[in-house]
This record gives sequence, structure tokens and C-alpha cells, in this order.
Amino acid sequence: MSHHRRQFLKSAGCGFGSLALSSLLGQAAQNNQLSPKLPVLPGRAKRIIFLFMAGGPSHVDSFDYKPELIKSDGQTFDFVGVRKDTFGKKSQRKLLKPLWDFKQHGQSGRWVSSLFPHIAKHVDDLCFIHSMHTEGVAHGPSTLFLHTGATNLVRPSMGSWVTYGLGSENENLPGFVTIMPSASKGGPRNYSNAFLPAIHQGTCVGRAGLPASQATIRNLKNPHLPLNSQKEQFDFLQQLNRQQAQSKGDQNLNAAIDSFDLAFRMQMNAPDILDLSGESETTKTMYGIGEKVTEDYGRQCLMARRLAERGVRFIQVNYSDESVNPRWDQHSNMPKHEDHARATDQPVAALLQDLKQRGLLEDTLVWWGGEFGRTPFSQGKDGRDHNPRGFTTWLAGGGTKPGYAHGATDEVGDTAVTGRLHMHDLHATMLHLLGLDHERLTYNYAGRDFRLTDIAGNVEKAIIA
Amino acid sequence: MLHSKKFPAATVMIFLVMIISGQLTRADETAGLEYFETHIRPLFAEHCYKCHSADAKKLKANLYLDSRAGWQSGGDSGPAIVPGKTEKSLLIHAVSHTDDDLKMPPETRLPDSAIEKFSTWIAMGAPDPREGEVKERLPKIDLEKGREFWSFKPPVAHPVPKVKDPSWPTSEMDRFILARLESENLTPSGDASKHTLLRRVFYDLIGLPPSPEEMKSFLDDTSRSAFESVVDDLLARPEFGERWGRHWLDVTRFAESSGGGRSLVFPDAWRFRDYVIDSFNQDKPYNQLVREHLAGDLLSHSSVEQRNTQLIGSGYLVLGALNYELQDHELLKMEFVDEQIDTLGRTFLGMTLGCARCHDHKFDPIPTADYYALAGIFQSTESMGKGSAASGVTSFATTKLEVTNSGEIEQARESLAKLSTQISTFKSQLGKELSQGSLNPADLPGIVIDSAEAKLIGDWKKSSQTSPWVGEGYLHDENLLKGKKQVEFSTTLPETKSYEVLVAYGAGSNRATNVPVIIRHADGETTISIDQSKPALIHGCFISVGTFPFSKDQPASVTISTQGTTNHVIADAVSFVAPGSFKMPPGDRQKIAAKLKNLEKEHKSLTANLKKLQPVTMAVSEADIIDDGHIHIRGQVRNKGPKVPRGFITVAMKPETSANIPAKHSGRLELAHWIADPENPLTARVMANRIWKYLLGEGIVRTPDNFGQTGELPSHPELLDYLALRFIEDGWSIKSLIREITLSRTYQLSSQTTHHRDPENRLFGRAPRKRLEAELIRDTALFVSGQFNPARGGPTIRKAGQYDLNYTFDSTRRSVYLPWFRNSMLDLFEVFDAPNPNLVVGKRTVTNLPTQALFLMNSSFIREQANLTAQRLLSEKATITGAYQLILSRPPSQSEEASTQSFLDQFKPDQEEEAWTQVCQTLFACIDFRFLD
Repeated sequence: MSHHRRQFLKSAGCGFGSLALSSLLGQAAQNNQLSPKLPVLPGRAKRIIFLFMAGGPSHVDSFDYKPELIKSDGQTFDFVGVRKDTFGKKSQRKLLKPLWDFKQHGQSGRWVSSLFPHIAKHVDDLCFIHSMHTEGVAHGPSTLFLHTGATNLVRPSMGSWVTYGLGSENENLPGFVTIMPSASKGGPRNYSNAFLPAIHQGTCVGRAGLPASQATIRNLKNPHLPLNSQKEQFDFLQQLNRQQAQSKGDQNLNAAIDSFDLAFRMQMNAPDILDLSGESETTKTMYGIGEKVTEDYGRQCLMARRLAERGVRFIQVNYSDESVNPRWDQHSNMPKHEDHARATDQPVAALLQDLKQRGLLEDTLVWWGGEFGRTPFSQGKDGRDHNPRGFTTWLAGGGTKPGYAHGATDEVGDTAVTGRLHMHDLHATMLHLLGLDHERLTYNYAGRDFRLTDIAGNVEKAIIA
Repeated sequence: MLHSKKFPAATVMIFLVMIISGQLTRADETAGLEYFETHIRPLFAEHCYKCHSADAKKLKANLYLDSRAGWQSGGDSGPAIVPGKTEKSLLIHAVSHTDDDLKMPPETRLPDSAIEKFSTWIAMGAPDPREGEVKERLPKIDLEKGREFWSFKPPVAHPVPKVKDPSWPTSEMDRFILARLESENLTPSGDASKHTLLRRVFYDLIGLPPSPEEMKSFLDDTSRSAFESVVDDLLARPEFGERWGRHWLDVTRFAESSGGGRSLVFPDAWRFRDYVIDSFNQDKPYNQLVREHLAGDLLSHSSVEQRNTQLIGSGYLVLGALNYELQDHELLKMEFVDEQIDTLGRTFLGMTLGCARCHDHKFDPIPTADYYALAGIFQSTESMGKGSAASGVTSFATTKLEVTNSGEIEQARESLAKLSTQISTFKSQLGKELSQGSLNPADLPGIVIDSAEAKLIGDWKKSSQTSPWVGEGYLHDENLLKGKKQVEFSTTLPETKSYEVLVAYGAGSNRATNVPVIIRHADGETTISIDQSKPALIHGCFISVGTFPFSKDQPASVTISTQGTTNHVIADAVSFVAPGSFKMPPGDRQKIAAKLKNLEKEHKSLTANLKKLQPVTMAVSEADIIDDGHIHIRGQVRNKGPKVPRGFITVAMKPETSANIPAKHSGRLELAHWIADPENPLTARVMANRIWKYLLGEGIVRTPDNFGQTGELPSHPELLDYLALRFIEDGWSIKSLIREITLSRTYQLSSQTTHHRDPENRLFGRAPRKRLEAELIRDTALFVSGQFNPARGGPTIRKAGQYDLNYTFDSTRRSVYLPWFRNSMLDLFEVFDAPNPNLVVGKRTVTNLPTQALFLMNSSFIREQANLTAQRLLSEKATITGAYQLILSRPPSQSEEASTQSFLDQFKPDQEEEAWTQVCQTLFACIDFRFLD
């Protein structure tokens, strides 16, 4: 977003909402300053698919290979606590070696454990960040931080910032879609526009806990009328609306009218996009659709590809549920990680392959990760606690360095030590890849310019190809 | 806590003697200082100065240990050392590393020898030669300066401004508005049309549209008082309380469940909702409403009804969003208190007090001490109930409402007790006992010996995990030291005869299957093996081990042994009963079972009836322990600083006044009176601003829940003062203020504007274009379709379970009466920006989302209401004008008429109902329906 644009928007006063709206609707193509296709920096990515692994998958059991951890299994060391009552205090903890074997894969020789045999085949396309660290220790705050850059205060979600900055490539679809989000751990706040214009709110497709085969946008279909009748009724409605708004010159009324247009276009287009029946059996099989364990996440990933193809800017694919302990949250019974790996591994690998073979990986940034990682030491008999101090996230496509691994945690995987990348830095870097300057993507609210990265964040050039 | 054995006894003795005998001699003083220089100064320098000295890079906890004055005045947690009192010195507490929340130095514990040196030194009276003053700490909040902020200054009567156009204003408040417009060279817009005005005032006051008949009569009434009579009529209707009560429910974050991980249903919260609606309908003075919310349980009353009403009002404090699952009860209690403080701050005072929980408020002049002065009040208040130990879920406080039918209740209770005895007799005859928890030995047949009276060999652990048990819990052997433990139950029986011996144990899968039971009887000794993993059926915990002869001259005894067992052994009780008491022929069993079933049915209905006769309400009460609260340093529950006297928000109090809370009062009553006092600078202003906001779209302060530094400044401060003072003068009458505002010319303006100089309408030069809120959309649709169920009040949660998940909403009652949950909401409410019941919402979010459009175009709800409305229209002669008047409260414009006609013309004659259904649906979706001009 250019300085000019911001100035322009500010001076537009109360008309701001409808300007942003029209940019989203693609009508702004007539105005270069608002063109959704002209980011301020030369962007490598045009969209993001975020594969959200709720609960915090264990990096030391999946992508962060630590021979020292295997060697020192069962030994006791002092670790500094991060939990509320133990904050900053050392206590004796027993190391727990990974439960799965690691092997090197691909030409790049990246290490992946046997948890993710399918993703392992794509390591040469992946860009691992082993040195992530973040804020918050509990799921609620860390999940909100991951999505909004704030643990507690109400802030716009990253998807909202992205559509605010870039608009949508498809005037018939919302710019920010979240597939099967959870109502817990911040719930709607994780896809909320907060103070950004409401049009940037994430649109939900289904919700966590229901089968993906039923996932759709609420009230998207009209069960009462055939399509041609709906069109006639819709035209009549907009005719009345325009007559009623005509003399009033109120931007708010125009925004309401525009929201009907978008709704109707969504109704015409989105059901087809979310309907997977037209996909070939080969494709469905590749995603694991039809297999019990991969059915749901496979469908979600395939929907994501279809939405990406049609130009949705930010697509979040949630692997989450409504429970107190989100899916990857194995405080005990680490072997349960395998259930979650089985449910997601093949669908994610299929998505990577599918995007690649369609040439979409070039300009689609795929982001895999949870709100934090897990501790290298055990909790109870066979669990691991939350670890916001060091964990792994991986990116693919969209201008990231393929087959690359950035940064490292210490020798057992507890704390990020080299190439440390804070969640704010990751946000800044991803915005950069989209051609957005995180320091200039601001919105003035209650007398202050707000950013996704607050007053922090550095673009990590090392992971950019 | 340090034990005296930790340092040399001799030293202690010497110094104790010295301290007790009075002052230290000069020689001792020298010795003390020497001790300091030799042992203590190096310890401070090496281990403490890094964070607690003038040279510290970053001073921690505001504590200096590099001068005497430093530890004397202390840091965030108070003085670090109490000379002569090691056990009271925080320093010793910290260095001994016994408290997880306060360990110093944080990384490693000092050697015991060093800790002993500190103790010795403190016992000596902590002689310390280090002079030097404590450096200025963080700037303290300046209350005098704070009181200068506009909202903390008491409202004053400003002269009503002069205006250039004296013919325009019809009220004093109009003069404030016009004067400001004139000063900006702006003129107000024209007056609203009668159609627009009537629709506006109907929705604003009662939340429903005028019927076509009401519209006609208003249009026909050309008298000057036409509008005034409409306003008075609407203010007197019961729907007024439903509409304005809903506003207040937003502000009081009303909900019928707790939210959080497991969202507990509040089955009696509806009483609070009905109470709010009634209060608005009765025009209860606002200051009384405030007092009832904060201290309804403590106010005097002249009737049972008044007492109950006031009690229900105090439910305000219990209705908050809270995760009752929190296992840390100290924290849970503080979270509850925090919710109460934060909520009451926003509701009544427009202050964000929550910020002061962890540190002095960054923006407003509210020190942490004020926060904990309030916290002391609510810590001395009982807001939580017991809940279930098993699930770890706590509960909320309820109080029984007083009833006038105590005789009836007593009767019901007696018959219930009788019924229970009958049921339990039948059950024990059938060998199944419904009992939970403890069975009273006196209620059991036969001669019962409880474990409490038994002779124990070895360590037995007392437990009450498995229900039921006899008397005081049962014993278990912890599966340890097999053969070394036994329990002997013995007694002398009254008669020489045969008794059947019953043995009680709580069965479980981890119980031993081969427990030896040794019975000593008249003929000798018999050992029987019992399987404690199998359920015991008699009374739910006894089994029979056989019938034996006993003599009244010899002790009868039964011993539970652990010999040879490989799993847990339980010993609960033994009973001697007449042989065969628990056997009966199978035919009788059936008869009894049938009788039992009937009795249980009766029991259930009687219980439900009793519940109705004996209602409870969510309410607070004074706690057993009334005490001031500690400051929690950085908001951490266990990091306790000094206590602060219970009190209020200093900056909003008159200088030199104090809270004066009696020692035996929590302070809620005093707090309620302080907030409800006409001299409180915030209370009347905040409420007057809310009322203005509901009628004129925006408040004079546009952040109605925030009158602090981070809130907005008032656009018309003098007008706000005027309104606040009028409000107080009129006895805090909400209806009077509403009446005055609606009768002003300002309220009756058109929403049309001819200029764009004030795009946000901050000067109120025109009427706002408001949005129909979620409830109004739903209620209107039901109202015009004829489906509206006008029933008022009462419980509306269908089959209230324990939690609120997956509730199906299927009522056609007015929206205010729909169950209002924190974790599940009617989809229409969600889509159309209903308030988040976790927060105080004085101003709802307003959005234009495609999901709203999709709802209006495609949802079954709108389609169904449109269809019913069409049928209603078709039942007489359907006309386009009739449809517009019914749904939009106005006739169509010419162009609308033409568009609608040509839309209708596309349908075949036999599609009349479909055609009109689509017209009605379109009218429900159009912008003139959703916006209120």
C-alpha cells in the first residue's frame, strides 16, 4: 500500500468503507491507485493458503531433527518455565526423545520423521523455519497472536489485512475464506476484521466439528426458488434499493446495496467452487477423499485449491475442533500425534502436488503451522507441554526458497537460538512476499495507526528465493 | 518460614534477650554493624544489587537493597525486612525458595549458610549503616490533576445558550444543539415527514412498527399534541420495557449461560431479564436500579415482593462470563471479582477499571490501590456456589426467594420426606439403594458398626470416593503391606440368637477379589472370602456373608483382613440383621417393583412442584469473612502486596472524603450508594448519554462505555451536563428523559441532508439513519406475518441442560425472550450483529456483510415470514400500497409502485401467493426496511 493511497483514503473521510469495498469488488480496476493487482512492492505471491494445525504440533517429533535429544532421552535438565506460575524459573525436566524415526529426504536432504511420509516427498519445495518463537503460552492467546498479532486486544486477522491491502482477484467471491474454523480459542476473533471495514471479515465455510462434505457458506443456496426466479427477484430488489437510496446520497446505503451484489455473485459462483463432485476420481483419491481418516481434511484442501485457482486472497484450512484441548495438543499420549498426522499428511502433500502441477505454487504461498510447538521434555508419562520459545513452521511456493531450512533451535529443540524468527517477523515476511510493506500497511483507528505487526517485525530476506 | 534450628541457638538466645530487654547497648551496636559489614553487605552486593540497586540496569519490583531506606520502604510487595522478625521478613521468605512465586535470587538458591546469616542479622534488628534516600519511583498518579479531566468534574448547570433563530428550538436542549450549529454556520435539516417520524418513534420506544391503523390515526390527528400523545402512549405500553430493557441487557452483559470451556446454563437468569423489563416499565428511578444491581440483597424492604425484586436485581453481579472450569480456585475467585469490577466500571461509570488490575492505569488516574480497594469489597462478597467436586466445575451463587406460601411448602416437604422413606424401604427390600453419599447408620436396619468405631491394625486411608458409604466414609488399605493390615468390627449383640451378617464396601474394578472376612460367633470362627470388585446390592454397599449364631454374653466380631489379597481392600461397615430380611419370593419382587415405580414418579413430580413453590434466583450475599484485599503485584494472584482498605475510585470521589465502610460490611451497600449519589460526577452523565445515544444514533460521548482518557470527548459537554442534571432533578426518571428528548425538535428532524459539512453528524443537525437491530428485524417479520407470540416473561429455555451447546431455537416469542447463550446464538442474531454477551455493549457493531444479504435472500426464516405475510395480505384484497404500509409503514413511491407492479405482472394468475411472497420477501430485504430514517 502506497503512502499516496493511505493519504487518499484518509482524506476520503467517511467514504472510506465503500472505497475499500469497491476495491474488493474489483470495480477499482478503473482507478490505478486502488488497483488490487498493484502492490507497492513487486510481490512474489498473490495469495496465501494457511494450513492451520491447531493445538501445537511437536516440532521435535516431525521436522526438527535433534540427535542430541535422542541421545539424552530420559536425562534430566533445568528448563526455564514459560507457564504463568513457573515463568522465568528453572525446574528439572526429563527429556523425551522423538517417538518417530527421522530420515533425510529429497535432494535437499531435509530431515522429516515418519509422522509425515507424504509431505516428506515434497521437502525440495519446502522452506522450513526451525527458529520460530511467539507470544502467549496458552492456546487462546497464542492462537490469537498467530492470527492477529495480539494475544488479547481485538485486532484484525492477517487475512483481513491482506484483503484490505490487496483487494480480491475475484469479484464474485470474498477475499478471505476460512474453512471449518473452530468457535473456541478466540473463535470468530481469529477471522475477524476487528476495526477494518467489515467487508474484510473472513467468510466461514462450514465449521469445525461438522463433516467437510457438508461445509458450505450459510444461506448460500436458496432452497425455495429456481435460479431464474431468484435472478428476477434479485433484480427487483436492487431496483427498489437503488430507488430508495437515490435521493439520500449515503455511502452506507450504497455499501448495503453492494453487499447484495457480492452476495448474489457468491451465490452464483461459490457453490460450484465448494462442490467437489466435478473433480476427477484420481484427484479425489490423491487428496484422500473417500478414506475415513483423510476425508475431511482432504476435502478442505481440495476446496482450498479451487478457491486459490479462482483468486481468493487468503484461504485458511483449519485442522481444528471445539474441544478444550485442540487437536495437536498432546499433553499426554504423544502417540496420538500419529492420528493427526495421518489425517493431514496425505491431503497436504496432495495440495502441494496439485498446486505445483497447475503452476499455482509459483504465486501461492502455502503456510503450514500451529500456534506454537511442544517441549522436548516430557509432561507426565508421555506428553509434551506447549512451547512458544522454539518451533517449526514451513512455507512453500510464493517466492520462498525451496528445499531450504532456516534457523535452528538449541541442541534438544527447546529454544530458537540461531536465525530467530518471531511470529511478527513471519507476518512481516509473508506480507513482503505479497508485495505489502508491513510498516506501511496501516489503518487509522481511535486516533492511532495500527499494523498487523504492531511496532515490531522484520522481513527475513534469507528465506526469500 | 524459617525454623530457629536453622541458625545457631546461642546467637538467637543472646539477641532475643537483648531485644526483649530493650535497646541494644553501644557495644552491641558496633558488633551488629561489624556483622553487617562482614557478612551481609557482601551478600547484598553479590546476589542482589544487580536488580535491586541504583546501579541496576533495570530495577526490579521497585525494590532497592543498597540502602537502609530501600528495604525499609520496600518495593511493590512492601517492606523487605522487619527488623527483629525473621519470620515476617519478605527477604527471608524470598531467599529460602519455599514459595514458587517469590524466589530470590530467581536462578539459584543461596547456600543455607548465607540464608542463616541473613536471619541472624535480621534477628539482631538488621543494623545497617547505609544511608541514602530511595530514588523517586515511577511517577505516581496525580489525583489532583486527574480530577481536572472533564468527566471527573461534577456536572454544572450551564446557562442555556442564546440562538440566532429563536423560532427553531422547541425545547431547551434544542438551543444547545442549534447554538453549536450556528457557531459552525450550519443549519439543521428540515422536519421528518409524519410517516418517517411515527416509524422512528415506534421502533425507538417499543421496537415494533406502527400498524397501518395506528399510522392512519396519527396522520389524521392534526392537533399540535398529536406526537406528544403518541409518545405518552408508547411509553405506557409494556413493549416499552421489552425494547429498553434489551438495551440495558446489552449493557449488563446479560446471558443465560456462563460461556467458557463448558458453558454452564443459568436456569434462573430469566428472572433478571424480567426484572429489567419490569423496572423499565415501572420507570424505576435509575439510582434505585443501580443500588439494586450492586446491593439488592442488602437494601431495606417493606414487603416480600420488594425484597425479592431487589434480590433478583443483585443477580447483575453473578451473570458474568466466567470459566467455571478453572481449577485454581484462588484465581477463579479473583477472575470473578475482576469481571465484576470491570463490568460495573463500564456499566455505571464509563470507566475501564480492569486496566488497573496489574498496574496503575496507563491513561486514567486510577491507581492499582483503587482497584484492590474495590476488589476487597467483592472478595468480601459471596458470588460463587459450590458446584461439583467430581467434574471440577464450580457454580454460581443463588439465594432462595422469599415466599408467602410457607405452609404449602412445609406440607410438600413433609410428603416428599415420607415418600423418600417409602421408596428407600422398597429399594432396600429389592436390594437396590438409590442412596448417594453417606448412609446414616441410624437409618439402616439392624445393628450397624461403622468403620469409625472399628479397631484398625496398620495404616488405613479414609476415603469417600465411591458412593454410597456408611457413616463417616470408608477405609482402604492403599494396596500396601498386605497381611499387615486389618479392620475389626466388634460389638455385643442384645440377644442370643442367629443374625445374618452384612459387610459393606464400595465396589470398584481395582478392588481385591479374595478378601478374607473372619466372623467370630458363638460356635467359633468362620472365614469367608468376598469379591469386592462385584457390586454390593443391599443398600448399594452391603452383601450378606451368611447367618451365624451369636451369644449376648460373648463379643461378636467381624474382621476384614488383607491377607493374600492382590488388589485394594475396603472396609466400610458391618451390620447384624434378622436372618432373611433381604430375601423375598420373586412374585413379591414384581409387585414391589411396580409400586416403587409409581412412588418414584410421584416423587419426581412432587420435587418439581416443590422447586416451583420454592424458587431461587442468582444473587450475591455478604461473605463469611469480610476483609480488605491485598494488592496483587502485577495482577498475579499469589504475589501479594500490602492490604488496602476497601473503598471506591478516588479520582471520582470528592477530595478529602473517604468510603467509610463499616468493618462488618463488604462495602457493596456503600459502593451502591456512592455510585447512585447525585454528586457522583459520572453516573448520571453516563446514563443520560446512553439514553441520548439510543434515540439519536450516537452519544454526545460516542464511546458510551468509556468516559476516560481513551474515550472520546463530548461533542456538546454543556448539553450533556444539562441532560444529566435534568435526569437527577426528575428523580432519575428514564421515561421523563426519553420523553423530553423525543419531544425536542432535534429528535424530530429529517435524516436527509443538503450539505456534507458534517459527514458524521457530530452536531446532530439531522436525524441519524439508524439500523434495525437483529431483534427488530426478527420481531417485525414475525409481527407482520402474524406469527408473533406476544407472551411476556417467564422461563424460556426449553429443557435446560447443564451446558448450552447445540441448543435449537424454535420459538416465535419476542426476541428479548429468546434464550440468550454465550456459546450458541440464533443464527439471525449472529448475522445481524447482536451484541457479544461477554462484554458490556453500549454501542453495537454495525456491519454490511454479504452474509446478511444471503440471510435475507435465502434463509427459510425470511421466506416463511414473507409467505405468511402474503397469505395475510391475500386474505383481504392484496394491494401494493397495503404491502408497503404493512412492512415499511409508508405507501410506495410512484416508481416503487411501478416496479412492484411490473414484477407482479410476470407471474401467472395461479401464482398469486408466490408472487406476493416474493414481494414481501423483497420488502423485508430492501434498505428502507433495514434502515430507520
